[in-house]
Parts: sequence; C-alpha cells; structure tokens
Amino acid sequence: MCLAALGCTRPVEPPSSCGEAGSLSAAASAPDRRVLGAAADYPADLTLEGRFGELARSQRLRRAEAWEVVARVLAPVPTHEALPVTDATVPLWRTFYDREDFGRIFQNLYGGLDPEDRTARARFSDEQVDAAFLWNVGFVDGLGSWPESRFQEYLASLDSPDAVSRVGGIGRIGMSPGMTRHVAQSYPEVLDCLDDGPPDAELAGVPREDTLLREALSLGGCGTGSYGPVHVGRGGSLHVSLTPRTEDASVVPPRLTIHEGASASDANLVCDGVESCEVEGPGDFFVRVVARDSGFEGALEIRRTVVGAPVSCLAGAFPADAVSVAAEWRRIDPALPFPTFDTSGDALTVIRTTETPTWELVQNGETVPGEDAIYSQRLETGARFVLAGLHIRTRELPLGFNITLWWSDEPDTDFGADRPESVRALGGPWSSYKMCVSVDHTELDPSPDGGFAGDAPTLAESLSAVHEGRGGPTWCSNPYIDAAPGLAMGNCVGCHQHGMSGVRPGEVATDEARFPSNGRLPARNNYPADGSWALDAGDDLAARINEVVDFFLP
Amino acid sequence: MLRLWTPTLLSSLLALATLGACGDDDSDGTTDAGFDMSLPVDAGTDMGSMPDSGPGDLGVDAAPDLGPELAPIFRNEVSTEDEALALEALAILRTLETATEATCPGCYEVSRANIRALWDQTMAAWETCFADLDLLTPEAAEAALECFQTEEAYDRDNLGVFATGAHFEWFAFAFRRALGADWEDPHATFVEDVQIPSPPETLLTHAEFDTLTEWFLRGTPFIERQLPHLQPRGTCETFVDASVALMAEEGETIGWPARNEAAAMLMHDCPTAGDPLACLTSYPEASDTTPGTTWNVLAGSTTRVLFEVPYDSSYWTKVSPSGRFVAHGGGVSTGASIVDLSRDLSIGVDASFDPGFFPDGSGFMFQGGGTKICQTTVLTSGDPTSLTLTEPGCTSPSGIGLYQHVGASLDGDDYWVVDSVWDGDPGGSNSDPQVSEQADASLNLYRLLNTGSGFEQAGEFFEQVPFEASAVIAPTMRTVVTQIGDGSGTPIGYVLRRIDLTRDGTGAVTDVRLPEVARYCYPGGKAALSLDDRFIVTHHRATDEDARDLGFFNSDDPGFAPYRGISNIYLIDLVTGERTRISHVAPGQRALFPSFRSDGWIYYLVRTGSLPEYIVATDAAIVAR
Repeated sequence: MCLAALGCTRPVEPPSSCGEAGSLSAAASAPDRRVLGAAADYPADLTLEGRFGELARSQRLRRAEAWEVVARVLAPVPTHEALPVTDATVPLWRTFYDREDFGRIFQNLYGGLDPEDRTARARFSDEQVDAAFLWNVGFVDGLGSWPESRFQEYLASLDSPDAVSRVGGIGRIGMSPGMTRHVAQSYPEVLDCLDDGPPDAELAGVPREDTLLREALSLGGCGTGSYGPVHVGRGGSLHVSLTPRTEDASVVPPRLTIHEGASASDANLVCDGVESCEVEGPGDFFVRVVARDSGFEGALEIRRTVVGAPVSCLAGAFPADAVSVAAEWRRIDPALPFPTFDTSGDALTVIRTTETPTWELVQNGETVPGEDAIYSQRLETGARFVLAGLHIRTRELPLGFNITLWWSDEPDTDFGADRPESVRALGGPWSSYKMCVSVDHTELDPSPDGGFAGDAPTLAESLSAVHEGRGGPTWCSNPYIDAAPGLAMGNCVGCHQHGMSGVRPGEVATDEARFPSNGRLPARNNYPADGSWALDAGDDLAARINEVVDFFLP
Repeated sequence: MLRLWTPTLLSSLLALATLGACGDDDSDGTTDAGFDMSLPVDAGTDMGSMPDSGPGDLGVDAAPDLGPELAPIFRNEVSTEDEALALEALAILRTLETATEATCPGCYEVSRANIRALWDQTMAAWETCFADLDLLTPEAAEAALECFQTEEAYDRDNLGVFATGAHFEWFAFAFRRALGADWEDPHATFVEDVQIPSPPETLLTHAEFDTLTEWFLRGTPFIERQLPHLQPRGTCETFVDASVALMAEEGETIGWPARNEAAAMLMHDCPTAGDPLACLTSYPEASDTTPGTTWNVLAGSTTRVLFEVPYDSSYWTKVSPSGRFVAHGGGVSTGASIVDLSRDLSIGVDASFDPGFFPDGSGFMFQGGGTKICQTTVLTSGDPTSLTLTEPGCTSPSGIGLYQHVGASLDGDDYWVVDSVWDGDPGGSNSDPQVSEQADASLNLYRLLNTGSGFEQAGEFFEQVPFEASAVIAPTMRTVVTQIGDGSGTPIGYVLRRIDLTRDGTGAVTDVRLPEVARYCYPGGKAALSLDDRFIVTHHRATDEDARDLGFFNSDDPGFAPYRGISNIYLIDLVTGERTRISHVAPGQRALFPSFRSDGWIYYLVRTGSLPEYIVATDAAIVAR
C-alpha cells in the first residue's frame, strides 16, 4: 500500500531572525480594515535624533525613552466603526497596515498610473497615497461577498473585548502609515534593486534628501504647531512646507518659521515664510507654524538634505514616524506548552558564555497565562492566541530605535523593573511585558549596569551580564522571537543593516567569519533598505511590488 | 460535534421567522408567523398560553372586536439539539414512508437521495410560497396559492415537507384571505391534492410538523449519523446531502475566491477585478488553433490556449490560484517546471512531480528529492529562469508523502494532512487509473497545529473507509473526496466527506469525523475541487459507455473506435450531482489534469501524441454556475 500525504503546511521559514523573517499570514482582512479605519499615525518624537549621542552613551536614558516609545505604540485608539463594546479601542500598532493592506494600496496606486507613467516609473504623490489609504478602508464595500448587511452582522459580532482583540487577526508585521507611504513611493528604487542586485557593502557618500515627517495639520484660529529641534549636518539643509487641503482663497496661509536652537523666539529666527521655509546646516532647528484667524487644514512636510551613504533601495531614509512592528503570537493549546524564560543576570551569563546560544538554554518552565495577564485574542473556533513578544522599530534615530517586548511571569524584575507609569497606566496586560532596546552597534555606556544598581538591582545584574565593555557590541534579544541559533546574543541593529543586501537573516547570527559577534557589529557602510527587512524577508514587499508591476506589463 | 460550516442561509431564514410564541411543548417560544401571539390582544384569550395553538381556531370567525383576522401560526421553532432532532424527524419520516406507500410511492422514501430532493423542494417553498407568512392582504394570499400550483393544479412538490401540514389552519386562512367567501371548495381540493399522508392515514400533529420542518430548515443535520449511506462494494448510487448545498452557498462568501478577492489577488490576464469572464482574452481561442478546433463544447463558454509546452510533462499539472503559474513534472533539462504565463516562459525546477499551490497564493510545493515548500515570492521577487527549491523562502519539511494535495484553513486555524491509499496517474494510459479497493482502508488525518509562528504536528485521527482510495482534500479543508471502484479496481464514483471537528473549550480539536455527505457515480481520474467547494473537475478516458455522449449512436459505431482511450475533462456540480463534459478532444488527444484557479477558470493539459503539449483554460465552471 502506498501512503499519500494530502494536505498542507504553510511555507514558513525556520524560527525567524531579526524578528521580521518568517511569517504566518493571517492578515487583517478587508472588513477588519474598515473596522479599524486608516492606520493611526505614530506620533514621532523629532527631538530624539538630536539626543542620539546621549542615548547611545546612557543605557538608563535609552531605556527611559524606549519605554515612552512603547507607551506611544500601545496607546489605545478608537476603532473607526462604532462597535457594540462601549468605547472600543485597540492599541495603536494594531491599526498598522499589513501585507494585504500594502498589496491593495500599492495595486491601487500603480494601477492608477497611465502606461507612460508606469514605463517612466513615476513616483506617487503624497495626495495619491493619501487617497489610496482611504480607498483601502472602503475596499470591502466593493466586494460582492461583503454586502453591507454582512458587514453590519460582523460589527455586531464584535461584542466583547475578546472579539475586538480579534480584529486584525494574527498577522505578524504591521507598518505605520509613514513607513507604508515611504515603501510605496520608493517602488522605482525597489525595482532598480531587484533588477541590479544588492548594492556593494561600501559606497561613497552622496547628497540625499530624506522626508523626516509628513503629517496632517489641523489648527484652529491662531493655533500653533511646533516641531523639533531637528539636527542638520554640515552641507545639509532643512526644507519645510505647508500644503493646504483645499484651495480656499478666504483662508490666509499660516506663518511658518524656523528657529536655530531648541525653541522659538524672534531672537533665533532664521527663516520666516508662508508656504515654505528653508535653512542651511549645520545646526539644530526648531519649526513653528502659527495659523491666522481662519485656522489651517492641510499637511506639513519636513525634508532634510544630508550627505551620507545612499539608501539604495528606497527613496531616501525612512521618515521619523516610520514604524514597523513584528508580533509573535503563540497558540495556547495542550499540545503546545507556553514556555517561560529566565532573563536574570545569571541566565544571561549562561547565554553570553555559550557559543551560538539559544533561549532554550534558559527556559525555566511552562505556564498558561491568565486572560488578564497577557494580550490575547480568541478565534471564532475558540483557539486562543497570546502576544508573546513584540518587536518595535521606529525611525526616530539614525539606526532605528530598536525595542523589543516579551511577556514574563515575573514581569517586575530585571527588564521590567524600570517600567514607568506611562506604561503601567495603559492597564490590562501591558505591565506583564519586559523590554530591551538598542540604538547602535556598539555600547557607549561605560557603566555595565546602566546606572540601575541603586533603584533596579535585578535589571542592573542582567545588563551587566551582557555588557561587553564600552565599545563592545550592544545586546538586545527577545526570548520568544529571537529563537534562531545565535540570536540570543543579538542586538537587532546588526541584523537589520542587511535588509535588501542579499544576506539572509538566518546567516547573520551564525556566520562568525563574515559577521562577528553574532552579527552585531557594522558590516557595511550603507543600509540598502534603511534597516528594514520588510522588503526582502518577512512580508517580502519587494516581491509584491514586482508582482504588481509584472501584472500591468503591456 | 461541531460542523465546519455555519448554516448562514438557515440562520437568516430562521431569523425571519422568530416572531410570536405559542407555548408548544417542544417549542423554544418562537413561531413562524407574522404576529406575536403572546402579546395581549383583544380576544379575551391568552393566546400565548395555548398549547399547540397553531392548528387551533385562531382568527377563524373572529369576533368583531378582534379586528382583521390575523394569520394563524404556521409553525413553531423547535430548540431540540441537532442530533436528537434528526432522530425524531427520521422517525416521523419513517411513519410517512409507510403511510404513503400506496398513495404516493417513493415520495417519502427514507433515503439520503430522497431526503435531499425533499430538502430542495422544502427550501424552494420556504423561500417563495412561505416567504410571507403574515398574508396581510388578499394579494399576498393569492400569490401564495399561486405558488402552490403548477399549471393551475396544486402540486405537492411545490410545498416540500410543508405538504405534511396542509390540513393546518394556516392554509385554510390563506384560502380565506385570498378567495373570501368562496374559499372552502378550493381549499378542499388543495388538501386533497397535496396532503401528506392522504386519509385515512393519520395526519401529523402540529408538534410532529414542527419537528419535521425544523429539521429540514436546519439542513437535515446529522443525517449522515442517523441514516448512514450503506451500499455494497462495487455499487454506486448518487446522492447529495443538504449540507453540501449549504457548504457551497457558504463557500461563495467565505471560500478562497472571496478571500482572495478581498486580498486583491491579481488574477492573471484579468483587466477588471471581479469579472472573470473578461479574463484571458489576450490568448487565442482554442477553436482558432489547429489542434483545438473541437475542444470547447459547453455553450457560452470559452476555451483558450495559454502556452505550448515544448517538453513532455510528467504526472500532474496544477495551476496557481492567481492563474499566473502552472506547474508539473518534466522540463527541457530539469525534472520539473513552472510555467510563468506572465513572462511566457518555463522555469526549470529541481524536483520531480506532484506540484501543489496553496489556495491563498502564499506558496507552492513539489516532490522529488524530498518535499519542498516555497513561498510564492521565490517566483515573483525577480525574474527567475530556474529554481533549485533551496532558495531563501524554501523549506524541506518531512512527513509529507507523494500524491499530496494542499489546502489552507479558512479561519486561520489548524491545517490537516490526510493519508489514504492511492494509485498514480501519469496520464499516458488509455484507461482511468485503478482504485485500490482495500477492506481495511482508512483516512488518516494529522493535525498541523497553527502555533502562531508556524505549524506543528499535534494529534492524529483516523476513520475507516473500506474500499475508498485516492483521497483529495479541498482547498478550503472542509471536505475530502475519495474514489470507489467496481470491485475490480475500475473507478465508478467519488465519495465526498465533510471534515467535522469537535473542540473543547480551548479550541483544541478532540475528535474528527468524516461523514459521507455525497456520492457522485461517475468514472474518472483524481478529483480537483474548486476553491469555493462548488465543483469537482476531473479527466476521464473514454470507454464504450461514453460513445453516445461523444455523439455516436453506440459503441459499435465505426467512427467511435478512435475515440476509445481519449481523455476529456468533466465538471461535477457538487450541489446537484450533475456531470458536464467540458471538452471534446480529437482522436489521439488527451485532456488531462484539470485544476481550478481562484476565480473559477479551469486549466488543463492537452497531449496530442507529439510535442508540444498545450496548457488550456476554460471558463466552463463560471458559465455553468
């Protein structure tokens, strides 16, 4: 008798590297996008970049700011559609765009180009992207399989917090609007990279213009908006512009000013404009917008020219509000024990002193987290999934603000000992997650314990265990996400430098000859995808872009 | 036991009829009538407390203070659990079977096929004749009466199992409202013509009527458990349970075509999303090609030639859900190939045969040198001309044998791998592949647990399926199709089994059942299911039995001789059980290995006896819908 195996498994890569590779796509469906509405903007802190050196030199400051990023990413936002649950909210990152959203958005944008523009690889305007974002929210309305009555039934079924948590599914990767916009607008560069192959590891610096921020601006009469300070290097410049939403002659354009330094005053005014303002570097600059009596509705864009390594596969670096999250959902099932990990100083010493370590070395038990103790969702089948970990990468810092959260049954020790009130105040399960952060390849804080010996001794011990001296490689790793060999001694930054470089995530932590210190050190002077794996691992957005372009070939 | 399908149709239908409460002992307090009888009315009687009030004198000869006569209760909803309800309903049907033996032979035969036929009638009646149970106006009542008739004669087929309640007051009310004072004679005629059973047999009580109609309106659940389809080996009788129709209907909104459209899957050569009939127009119609002049046969359909294969393919050909990629064993200098229709070229693949594509477009698999599973991005992220299947994005899982089929869970939950006995079909034979009929055959299901970051095998279930073989799992993973033979291995039919999962409070599966829900008695090769659970498509080599279908008087017709052993493509409608031949190849040609893309186009391979082979597409299943 011959036995046949009928059926399936999904094309899932081995345990992921760098957190973005290998995804199980139960992506946010079209109806869920309408429930959530357009993804919420991440409120980037433009001042962080100017404090990069300070953050690199102080673990304590770094962690404090990282917790604030966590608070911003987890902040509750209301759903777009009213739900039976009173004041239903989801964490901000749950509104982010997933690969299905990106596919629809890009398809809408590219399909909307005329043949000549496709041939010329014309770049999408901001207005076109805005329209595509909105179109995506209403996409479900055009589907024959989703008449309004079915959608209303679906809304009615979201009648408990558990059900609301299910909106968005168990998709792994989410991208903020800022990141999604930039990837979509970068499609010519993405295609060039696919055509030409990955760029060399060492490239000469070139002038390039990066969008730091583009956000909707709504000011009442005499309202003001302030941004910065933004650092501009020697030879660089800062360009700020305002675009009104409508051409209304009765609306007097606001006053747009740029000030040198960290605040706005007449004494440090260096540019006084209406629709745009531009200043030359070097320096730190503060941007201020003051509406007239008629107020202002429109968009603000801050762009900066720099001389630096090219970002070959994107149209410049990501803006500050570009955020990607990689969620590690785990199934709670009798057949799948949920592990717990020891991240104490002793445990991390074991990790550090083992060649090609894995987190299994310090697994210290199994548990079934309570409903209130961990962020979770239950499928309609009853299957329960819990959020074991969450990688967060924002572009508020040059090499990314690389933060990772993991659940712990002892949440207030070591990497949870300094959890601030801003995170505790989020309530629910969010105080059950520990956090580590890295902002650079090398550790510039001379203090092994990061200055926590006095007020958070368990954290001090853990940090000390992975401190390899000032100038040594930094450390940050997630027990639930960084499961591949070697990644227990990773630092996020080292791995992410290789996005779109031709190097695969799995190689970085194990090929000691090419990528020493488990891949944590700089191996190239240019980051082709500005540190994102979204294009050629994880969601493979480059492949999606290429597929859409192929589809529209004449 | 939980069912994978949710009877959305029934839910909505029953939701229409949740008004009123009648106090029936078996009732959960809701009734199928237009008014809430439990509400105080000016009639001096608490209607809500009247047992079996449906057939009572509600509204008849109402006193003046009752106002306009209200429709009596048509039926009461019953809250009995599905399995117990099936038991009760089948007991009622058996009494009807006996009671109608003389007056309506076979009408109430308790068989799976007949119950499905009754269900069709019942649902048609429910959606038309009984769509308005209130009958507020004479016009509404007249429409109902008209609906009961065929060519001006009352026709019990128009009422389905509701004919068993023809003696109830609701029907008398309908006649009164429609016909006024002259209602009695027509009503008597109606009762005489349609009543089941006919006097002097004992009529159903209203409680029995409620139970019987409830079971039908729920889709005859648990029929497979309470009325197993037992047939001797080597025989085949076609039947299709109601649950198949419900599953197909549900598939229209939750199946992979709907999912893929929601994900904006780019369907190959489709200028307009959602309009599949407008697709593939850039390819020549088969009728305009030399070898394909006869290939298209279904009226209104189109058959197009997509690609000329310059090498001998080996075993299956499969199409990707988007229709862009077509894979099979064989190649110019490699063991297997994937044809990229967008680039009009063949990509050499380091594999042997048995390709399969995941229905969500996420990836594909191949056999040869072990199982290889790759993400579709391996094909789309550049312009590959060859693949080793060791590229980033490819893995080599263990434990998946040859002859595999791939599906994907619709609800983001677990996947299942199914083992059965099978026989290969390289396509070169003049006859359909044999069916390995084994008395101890079983279907083994392996649970691939969705861990959140991948899949792990966790749990194994099996079900005895004597003499069934060559199992194929549906892309939706809601059904399995096997084949049966005539006792000597010649295929004579397909058995459709629903995958029923039982879960505990944590969502973990504790039991799996594979009830037989349909049998389609046709010969052929391995089945391929559409991505919405509506159709099977297969190929079949012509035998003498096919002579008339192929246009000959009989198999002795000299003109038929060269057609023996040719292979055509056949479409089986899972809902109706009807089979349609959708190709007509010439002598010496074989149409083989059909499979569905997401939007319903069927791709297949045509071998003509010499190179090239042809990849062909037909929209027959879209047209036939």
